[in-house]
Amino acid sequence: MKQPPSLDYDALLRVGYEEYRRFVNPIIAERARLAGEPLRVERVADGSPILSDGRRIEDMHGIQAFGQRNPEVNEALLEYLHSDRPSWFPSRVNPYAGRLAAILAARTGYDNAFFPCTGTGAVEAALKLSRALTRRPRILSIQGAYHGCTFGSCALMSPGIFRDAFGPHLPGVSALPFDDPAALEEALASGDVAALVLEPIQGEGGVRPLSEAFIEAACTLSEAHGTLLIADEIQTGLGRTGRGLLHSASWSRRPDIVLLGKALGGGLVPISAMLTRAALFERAYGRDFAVAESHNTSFAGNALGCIAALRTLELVDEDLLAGNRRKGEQLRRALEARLSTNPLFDHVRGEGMMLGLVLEPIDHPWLSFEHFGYPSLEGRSLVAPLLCRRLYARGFFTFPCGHDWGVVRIQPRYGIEEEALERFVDACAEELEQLAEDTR
Amino acid sequence: MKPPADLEGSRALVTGGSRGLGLELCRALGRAGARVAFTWAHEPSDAKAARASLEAEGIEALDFQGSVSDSGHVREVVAALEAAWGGVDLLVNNAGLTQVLPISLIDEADWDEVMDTNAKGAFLFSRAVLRGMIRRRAGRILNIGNFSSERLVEAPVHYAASKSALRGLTEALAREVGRYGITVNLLAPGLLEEGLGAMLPQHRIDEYLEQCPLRRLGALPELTRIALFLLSADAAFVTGAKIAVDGGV
Repeated sequence: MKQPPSLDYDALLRVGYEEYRRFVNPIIAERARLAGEPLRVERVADGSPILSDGRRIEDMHGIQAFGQRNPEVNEALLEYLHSDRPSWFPSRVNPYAGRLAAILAARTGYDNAFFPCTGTGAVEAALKLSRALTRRPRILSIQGAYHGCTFGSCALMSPGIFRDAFGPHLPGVSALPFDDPAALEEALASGDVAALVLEPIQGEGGVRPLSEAFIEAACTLSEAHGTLLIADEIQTGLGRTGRGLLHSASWSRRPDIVLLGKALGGGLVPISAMLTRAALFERAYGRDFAVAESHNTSFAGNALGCIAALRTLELVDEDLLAGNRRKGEQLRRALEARLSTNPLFDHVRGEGMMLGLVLEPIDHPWLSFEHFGYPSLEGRSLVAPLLCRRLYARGFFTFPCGHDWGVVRIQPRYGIEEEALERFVDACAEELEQLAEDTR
Repeated sequence: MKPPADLEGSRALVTGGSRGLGLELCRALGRAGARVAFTWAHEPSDAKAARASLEAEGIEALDFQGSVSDSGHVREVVAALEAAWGGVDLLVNNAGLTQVLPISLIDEADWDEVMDTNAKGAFLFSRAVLRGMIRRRAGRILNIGNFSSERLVEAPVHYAASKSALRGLTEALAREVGRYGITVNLLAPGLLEEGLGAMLPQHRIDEYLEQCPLRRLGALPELTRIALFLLSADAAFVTGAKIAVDGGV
């Protein structure tokens, strides 16, 4: 029998990046090469990637909230993989999904769940549930939103590179001005809005928290007008902000639907969740067998994802939440203290371990997209991309918010050591000072 | 030939300006009415003598000691001139170093020292002054290269390599900053009566003269006049140029 090609990692490192360039995305490969980004991630140690030259990268993207190759999630997955248990259940009555949904119900109060494989898959499920429930045409998002890249999610998206090329978009979808209770009240008064979709803290929109007043209005007005309130907690959930397993658990009215994703699979397996109430699910899909699976996906609730999620949820306990609150606050204060005199610094916002470093635009022609040969990007801030590039060279992977390149998103792994956070603050201060020097 | 009138009041920085071509450039710029500053690395007596000779002509020059390959020194010099003058309009990357050695005798440290002084120094000073030049959308950078980057001649390989690097720097930088009205040019002298020309053994001078249609070594004023032209408004449409002043070798 012909042997499958070896997956020897050394060989993969040698050829895999070139193959990525040739067969996956040449533009991204070129960008990484031009920016001098480290590519040869050789292994993982203590939750962080290690480059082939031995340097450690502190990954602050957020998807690896529990550290890369979390040993406990790893172990749970290995145990399953070494067993003879089924990988798929033909009846689709999946005991792993059942167990995960029961645990989530106990911990969140939401007694119905659907488990797609991606965050945007959870958004799609929520949009369809809200339409099926209310039979209303309209769906509202908030300007600056990012809910994913499939067509329904894309319709909710803030205008720009993630949206513009893909129209016409889902009809009936529009965006409210950010944090504007009056606009919300006016929009809901028409009585034809199926759902209001919001991120408690917009991620790609610039790590922008919605105000308490707006959240209160959303809770009250959505209930009054029979509109479903959907909290996209793909960024803020799983303890990221330190408020709880769900950030929105502290709101005066629990959202009708909450979405989880990103690190739900422990950073190893893609899985997301749409959480709602059984009564709502039954009203939408409980009429007969034919409609019960009218929204579904083949690998929904697959064993591997659910096993990873079950072990991951055990990691989110009170100690972790308290640690995220404490470390996040320390990081915020340290950044404010060290950067406050830099002319490029504006402020730090966000909550817990989801922070945004808001920067002033660079005002010098030699640090501009026009000078770099990309006039089509002229007008976009360059400050966050430049700082992120410098920080990457210092061993910290941060990145600019997708809709606002004036904000650096900082989402450390939960287990990050305080010493590493101090080094990060030092690096931010030094590199931002150099940028300021370059623009004087 | 009269110096270009538009240099009056301009702010000029010459690296390696305490002797030889650098000092003559300072003198020529001062005579043309420019404010002049120069850097020097090693000999305080040379710097003192340079200051004295300039002052004798009523040229008050600022001077700074340090290595052009030391980014801290570069930052300090440019910051001091921005504080004193408000910026630098003209930069002459003149500081250079050579060792007349065959490749068998060039150590790694020799290579690094020559490359650092001749190529990296020009990069650091250009980068430092460009921030202000680009903001003002005006400026002139003149790199003092060597005919060894333009001709097939026998030259120490690290020196020739460094001067070829300077040629590449000139061309690429001219392309990059031309959009701001800044010019970058290269002046590539041949053997002069002073400097290296005065140190070479006679048989090497003879070899040069055999190759040189004009059958003589160059003189400093023949370089400074062209340098002043390239720094003046008369050369506003000249950028990325490599001008060999070597008698036609």
